[in-house]
Amino acid sequence: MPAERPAAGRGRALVAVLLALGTVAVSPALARGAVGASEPRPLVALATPVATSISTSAGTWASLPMGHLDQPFNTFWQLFDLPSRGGAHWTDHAASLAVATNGGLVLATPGGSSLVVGIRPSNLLDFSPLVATTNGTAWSPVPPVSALDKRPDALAAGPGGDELALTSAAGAPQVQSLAAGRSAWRTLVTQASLAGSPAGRACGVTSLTAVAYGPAGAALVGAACDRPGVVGVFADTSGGWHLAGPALPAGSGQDQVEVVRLQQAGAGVAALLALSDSSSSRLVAAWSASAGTRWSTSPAITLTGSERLVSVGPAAGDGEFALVSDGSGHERAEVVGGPGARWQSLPPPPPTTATIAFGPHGRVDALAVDDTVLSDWTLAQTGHSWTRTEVIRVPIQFGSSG
Amino acid sequence: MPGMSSGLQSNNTTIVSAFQSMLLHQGLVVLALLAIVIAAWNVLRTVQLRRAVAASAGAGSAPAPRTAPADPEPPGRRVLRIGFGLIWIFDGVLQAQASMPLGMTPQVIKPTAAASPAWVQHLVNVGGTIWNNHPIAASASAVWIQVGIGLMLLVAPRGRWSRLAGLASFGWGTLVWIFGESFGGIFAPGLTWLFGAPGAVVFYALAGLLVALPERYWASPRLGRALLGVMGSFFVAMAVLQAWPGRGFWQGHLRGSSALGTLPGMVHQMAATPQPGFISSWVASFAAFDVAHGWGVNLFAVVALGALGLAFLTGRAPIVRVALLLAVVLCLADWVLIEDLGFLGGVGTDPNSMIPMLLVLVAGYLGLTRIPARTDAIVPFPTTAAARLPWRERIATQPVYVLRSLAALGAVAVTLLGAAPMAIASTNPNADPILAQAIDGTPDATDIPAPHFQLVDQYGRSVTLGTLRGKAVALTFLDPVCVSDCPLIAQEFKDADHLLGSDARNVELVAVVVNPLYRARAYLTAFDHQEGLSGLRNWMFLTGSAAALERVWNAFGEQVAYSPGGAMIAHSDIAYVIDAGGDTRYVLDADPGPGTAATRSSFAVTLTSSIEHVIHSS
Repeated sequence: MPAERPAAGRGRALVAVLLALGTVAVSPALARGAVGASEPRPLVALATPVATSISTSAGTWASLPMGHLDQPFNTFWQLFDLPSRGGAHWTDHAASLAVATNGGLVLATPGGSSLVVGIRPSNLLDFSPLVATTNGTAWSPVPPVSALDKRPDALAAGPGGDELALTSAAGAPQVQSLAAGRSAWRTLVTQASLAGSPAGRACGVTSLTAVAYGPAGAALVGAACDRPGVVGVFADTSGGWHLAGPALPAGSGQDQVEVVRLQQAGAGVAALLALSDSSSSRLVAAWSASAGTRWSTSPAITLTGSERLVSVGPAAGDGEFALVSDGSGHERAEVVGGPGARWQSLPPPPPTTATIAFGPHGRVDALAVDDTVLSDWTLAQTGHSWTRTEVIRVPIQFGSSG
Repeated sequence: MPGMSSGLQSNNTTIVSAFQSMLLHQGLVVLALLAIVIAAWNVLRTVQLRRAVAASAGAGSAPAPRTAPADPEPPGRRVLRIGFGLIWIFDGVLQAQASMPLGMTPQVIKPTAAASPAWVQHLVNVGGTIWNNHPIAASASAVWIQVGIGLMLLVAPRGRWSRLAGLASFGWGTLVWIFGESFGGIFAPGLTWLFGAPGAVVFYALAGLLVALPERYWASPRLGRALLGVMGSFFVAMAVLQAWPGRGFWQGHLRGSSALGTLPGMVHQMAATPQPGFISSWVASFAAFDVAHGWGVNLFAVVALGALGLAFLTGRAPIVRVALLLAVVLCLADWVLIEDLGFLGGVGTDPNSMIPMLLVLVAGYLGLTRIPARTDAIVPFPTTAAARLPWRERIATQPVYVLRSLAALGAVAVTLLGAAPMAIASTNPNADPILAQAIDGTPDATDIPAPHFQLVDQYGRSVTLGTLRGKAVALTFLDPVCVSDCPLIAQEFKDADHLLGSDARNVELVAVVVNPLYRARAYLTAFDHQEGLSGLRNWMFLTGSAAALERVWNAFGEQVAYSPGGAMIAHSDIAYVIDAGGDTRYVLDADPGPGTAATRSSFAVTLTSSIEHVIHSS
């Protein structure tokens, strides 16, 4: 039978085409997946790395990630130690921690020979085990705390045995404290309550970034501020929390500031600040002998758009170092010696350097990681070149964390 | 050992053997059904012959059978019925692949749903959970349901059985489209006709609906025209979608990066799936061509889809005929070069969308041009004289009717053979124990005194084996700072407590700490809090001095060792079921494997079963 000519075929076809176009126009397939959509340019923010080094009277400690760094469950953080007396070789103490280290390690020292190590949670573990040592041989557990934040100074140890921890239990960032001899941590302040305080409102707290003990044993909390030109260093006094940070160098009044590091330095406290605007970031070191009344600040070093922090930590004396990568395999190491000093560049560190350690007698080591191999490069006495002095193969058990 | 997960691969021999065994048993049932159909047909044929002989003896001459020549089935309907009947059977055979029970969810359902919105994933997860919990029953059911629907479509050309087959195809097709294909990905970005949007099974459902329609709808060209109109609109919509800027289809490479454009990226991925070399080579060649000429390829696709859509929308036979021929060429080229024949890459479950789409288009064309009735009005279809006979009389006089009715009944029985176990399984929220057996084997039955111990629980109370007398004890070893296996095992114990119901009053769930460093009660409490065990009345997490713990570990054969390189403490995953008299009755390998919800549930079911056996046999 011949096909019947459709009645009002054109009109129907037009309606159908319009319907089809309408259907497509509202299709969720168009809602996402657009390529090359432009977005407003955010402020340059620096992700704070956890890899660091720290010195005690017993030795120099370095924590860094090894293994398959693009796979969280196959990235294992190691804890290396270079003893201060007669130590020429680094020793890995990761096995002594008796826990999977995929989440990262946070180091703190109250001074003297003690070291406290916090193990960040990973996979199905949602709290942080803590362990302490004075010599790397005997380890004793410290009561566990809620999930330690991924910050190099998320843990602070006081000389009297007290401890502070920056945690994010149940998604609520807060500072917890542990009194010496006690078995349970208590909440010292939450981000929400700090942000709601007069000092917090003056800062516009966007995140908590570091904890430390001040010279008199007062708790200090570092933060990132939304309000330009305000440095979020808060001190806990009997009158509550107040801003105790330094004034910024001239010309930085419109920068947003994040406290990258905050730690005891000698008899005072040292801080490393990241200043950001829409085009670049700068690092400024600051020191205070009184934690709040008088600060001295270093000149700034600028990080270009592609550069990111690889490691930050204490340098010799009251100094600070920053290891910076440009994202294409080139790194630079910058060091500031202490109050009144300027930033100085070390020779370009060896490729894949994960952190730099400042030991006794002026020894400086660059610890480079390639999968399971750690290479220790020592800075020559002349200060002009690095020499590889040790290679350690770490027996990582890939697949052991799930 | 924690972290050394044995995994659960899709070719796991325990699961594959159980699946094949179930298919074999169900296959025997199908053979028995076939024998019954043949026997019944023989009996009814004998009755028919005797009646005919008796009637001829009474009348003195053979009577003319009370049948009239049947009107032919509408060609469009026949194409759909036979075409989709064969495809359903083919899909059923594909469902019998050995990797289907464990491969269906991770390799088919999840990847399809991954790009869809959360509500789609949530919905799909409902079906995925049933499949994961009962992989053997679900995959065997899918085989027989699809084979049964295919057989129903093939053996019942007309009447109620045939329409029932259409409804079954529509219903099952819709279920598969939602739960198996995540609505064909229509809610996900990257939707394209070239890769099978809006999902192959939506055409199965559409075809089923058309077969289920009363035949009178095929008596005029309206149905064919409407069908072509729908398909035409669909093609135009797909053309617009394909042409939409910013979706990456116009580029071989994305601007300013080395990443492939959307289409070559998809084809490249398809070429990498396991399949015969020549297909892979063709697909890879097309991907390379598209990388070099992305704009041209997309322009061709847009123009072709738009032109075909408009041609179908005209509803004019000569134009539709040409468009249909072009559509056949386009669809076959897409089927080979982009869709990879649909079923050869990975765990294939169907031949993808091009062949079903072509069948629908052909049916639309035949519905437009080949009208069995003499009028184009929608009137009751002129049924045959035979069709109007009462069914008892038709059985008595028409051998073909008898054969087809019996065959249709047999096909329905095959479908039910698949549907019934799946329906029963879906009412059970707990996973089948075979998953745990596939990972850990079956529990070892034994009857030896359990080692004595003296430790303290998380509250500081002293606990010995003696204080637990009178209750069944499920005992395991856990590291409170373990990141993988131990939390899973703890959850399995918790689930077992729930499954035990009132029997839980007679059971103590006990874990002994296996970390030499973190054995302080603060760590046990933190672990209990993490796993939600703090409120579990019969949960004990035991610790003690390093020496006391080491004695217990040794007594139970628990191997504990520090691991280098930042790995957690190594220890054995093992569980014991001890009866009220202090004798060990079962030893279970407690490796949680991949730790999915299904494997956790399965282990909990296995543990519960062992505990209940101990309780009720004491």
